[in-house]
Amino acid sequence: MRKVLSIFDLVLIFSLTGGSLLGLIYMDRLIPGGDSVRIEVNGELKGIYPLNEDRIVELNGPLGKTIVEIRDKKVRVVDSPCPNKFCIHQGSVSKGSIICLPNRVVIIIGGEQGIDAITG
Amino acid sequence: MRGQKSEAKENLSFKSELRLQTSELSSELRPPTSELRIAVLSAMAIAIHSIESLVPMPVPWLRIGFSNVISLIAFISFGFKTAMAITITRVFVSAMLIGTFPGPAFVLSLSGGILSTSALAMASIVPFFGITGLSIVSAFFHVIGQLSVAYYLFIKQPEAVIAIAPLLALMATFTGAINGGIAGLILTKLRQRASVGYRP
Repeated sequence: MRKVLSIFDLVLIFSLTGGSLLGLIYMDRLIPGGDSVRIEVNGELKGIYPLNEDRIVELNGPLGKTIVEIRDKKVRVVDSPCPNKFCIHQGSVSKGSIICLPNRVVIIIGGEQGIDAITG
Repeated sequence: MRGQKSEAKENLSFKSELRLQTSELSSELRPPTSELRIAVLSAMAIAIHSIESLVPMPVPWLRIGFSNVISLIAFISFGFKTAMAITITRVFVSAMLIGTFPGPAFVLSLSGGILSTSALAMASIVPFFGITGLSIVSAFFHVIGQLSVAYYLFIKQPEAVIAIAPLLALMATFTGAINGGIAGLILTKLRQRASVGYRP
């Protein structure tokens, strides 16, 4: 019978773990940041807000009211009527995006304040 | 009388003679056929999978996948066909029991399971892998299979798939190591019992 744990296995574990961690760090660098917070509900643009101004935004989606807070150059969802609350669990985000699928809320951080076009 | 039969058929291969003796025994004493093994092990794998799916997790798809322990033990003890049969049976039946049968979760589970068991077969050619290593390889290919199918059938955006790939690979190595360790310990214990003689 084979050994339960061979040296090759340990090599495998460490190399795969290291590779994945490197991949994670690389992913983190790839996420675009920016200084504007773009919020869309149900595909419609509700507003583009500067990241450095503290603000509380209330959004009305199909399930109810989602409250988004911009503070200390970070964005977080304070309250949301979705069942799983994934959006709230993400915490404060300084780059990337937060999406609340059930309530159709999309928050994207990125781009400069000067935008080319606004649709909707 | 049995002595006479064996004398007359001395030229039988060991397997045929075993089968002959088997058919003479009553049903309780018959050694397990592969169908029986597949059935019993599949039942265990289904039970493990169903119970594991009840455990609440912050992220629903994050499971350690303990039913892979059964597939792994089956592969090492009984071979590829048995292990594949167990995997496929487990995926189908637990999908039916949990209620996700023809849905995307089932398709992902099936593709992951088939690819991981096939990867087990291919990786076992290499003698350097221990049981833990085999489990990690199979878990890795399980994730690759699921990501590929998810990409081709559901998600279509390479960025999303590439973004979660490192995290899933990390989880796969750890859960693979855990499952492999458990399977290895069980197999070692079984081997001890087999050599010593099992006394309940």
